[in-house]
Amino acid sequence: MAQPDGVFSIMIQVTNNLPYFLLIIMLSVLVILGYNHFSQSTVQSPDQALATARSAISMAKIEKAKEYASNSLTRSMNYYDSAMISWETENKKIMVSRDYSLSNYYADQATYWALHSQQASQVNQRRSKELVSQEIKLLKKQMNQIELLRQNLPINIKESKALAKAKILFEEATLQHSVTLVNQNIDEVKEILASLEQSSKHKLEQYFMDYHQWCDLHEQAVKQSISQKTPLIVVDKLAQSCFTYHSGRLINSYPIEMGANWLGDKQHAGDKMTPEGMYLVTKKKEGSETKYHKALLINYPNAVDKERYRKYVATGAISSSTGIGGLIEIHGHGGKGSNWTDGCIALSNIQMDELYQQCKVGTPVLIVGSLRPLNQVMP
Amino acid sequence: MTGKLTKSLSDFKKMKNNRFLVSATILGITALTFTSCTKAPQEKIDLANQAVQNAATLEAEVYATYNFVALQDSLKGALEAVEAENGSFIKDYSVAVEKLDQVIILANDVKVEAEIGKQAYSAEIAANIQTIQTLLAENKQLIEEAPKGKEGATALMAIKGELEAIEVAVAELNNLVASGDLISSSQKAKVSKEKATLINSELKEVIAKYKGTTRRV
Repeated sequence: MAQPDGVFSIMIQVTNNLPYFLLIIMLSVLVILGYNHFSQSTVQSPDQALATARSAISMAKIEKAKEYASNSLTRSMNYYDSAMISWETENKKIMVSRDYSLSNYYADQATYWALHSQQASQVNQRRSKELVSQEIKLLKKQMNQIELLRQNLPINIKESKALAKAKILFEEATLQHSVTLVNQNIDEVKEILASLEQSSKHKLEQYFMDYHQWCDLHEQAVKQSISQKTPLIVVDKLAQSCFTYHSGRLINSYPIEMGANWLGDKQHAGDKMTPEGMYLVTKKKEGSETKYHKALLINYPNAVDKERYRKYVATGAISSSTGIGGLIEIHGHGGKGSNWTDGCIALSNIQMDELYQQCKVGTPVLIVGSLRPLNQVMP
Repeated sequence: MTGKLTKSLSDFKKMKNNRFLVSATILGITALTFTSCTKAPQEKIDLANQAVQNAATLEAEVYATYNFVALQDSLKGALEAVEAENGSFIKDYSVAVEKLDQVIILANDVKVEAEIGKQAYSAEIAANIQTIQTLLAENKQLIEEAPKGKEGATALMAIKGELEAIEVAVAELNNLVASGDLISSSQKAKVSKEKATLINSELKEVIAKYKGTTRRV
């Protein structure tokens, strides 16, 4: 009986002192909370550090770090995620054993790399803009050069399309928002322009194989004009100009228009080429004699042309049924802004009147590819 | 034995006097126990995550860039608030829940903004494509109307080349629109429209220049 009595007595005592026991428990809880507060103030919860990191990451994203400084931004975001995971892991532990130092470290690293990516993005954007701007300037220059070069060459539909495409891509590149797309466009434009430039230069280089011959002919013609005190007409095809001389002295120059396929020496009828060589005015036409206001008929084909034609026919380069062509004139109705004749040389009517007056039957007409060397022609 | 019992009953009466103190303490401990066991608002977290994901699917990053960054920031902020409560002894997720609710609202706003942005781009592109096609048709008509004399032929040939380049660009543009790249499409459309307009003017100029020159040369 003593035992139950003892237990009962203890129960009575506990019950009697219950408020004090509860008070002790409450105090213990307060102590734990106090420790928690103390421990958190010693190794702080990473909430502040993470908020700072998050804000820095957002700023970096706004600064387009994703595009311009992706490595450091990714690094920052990885650190942020690690900080969150570490925080979560620590929070699962009992309060007294939590340690947020690693989480804080990750959060600080996230902030550091976010700020780094923000700055890197600004720098890279500036650099990229400068580079693109330089590239665009260079391309613009190259495009202008090619256009100049192509002005010296007959129109080629395939090349015109390529150049038009390059122009469209170029315009797009100047408007693009994304540096990747700008670079894509720039690369494509470069490729097209390089191909056009190469093709145009190649054509001119081939054409200039006869340059020394043109120079010799020009020298001889001018000497003859001096010695015989006669007028001379010189046609520079590449310069698209016609020069008049008297007694070896340059009198005037006129812009001309030729056949659509003017680059190269005339080979046969219908090739829309303007012949090259030394000719003479064989007839002066006006009124009902010509439909082109006024005209100076030249002696194409001359002996050289005939000889070349015979060779080409013999080698099969030209069919024997194809004629050598003829009726090449310097005539009016020019000034249209394009090369439109079938091989003749067209001047505006006013300029044709002037030229017509300066010439007579027998006036030498020298037609050459260019009087300037290739390095002066090629931009 | 009776004396002891009487003493105990007297003590019990004393204890009764302290009932208020006991109840209060028990209530306090219960409250502490319950608050420290409060669960994180997982459902809200999932909803907020889903809302942000939906906005991302609608390419909000492209069409509502700044607000999408703000949305991502808000979501992270809300998740930080949740985690902060997870670490507290006395958990109160009300602030975190409020933040998550705000994320859901913001996500919907961003979604709407992205949709409006996409629609605006689509409308602009459609209008530009329409204009380009009208211009291309007009340009083709102008080429037909242009004098057939050889004097204009070379100029027209060059213009035809440019016109074909625009047609190619428009075909590429349609592919780009189909791929969903509306911003690039918009820029491409603008350039093609400008080019088509320029060619239109050039053609009109060419026609005007050669009109009346009916003589064959």
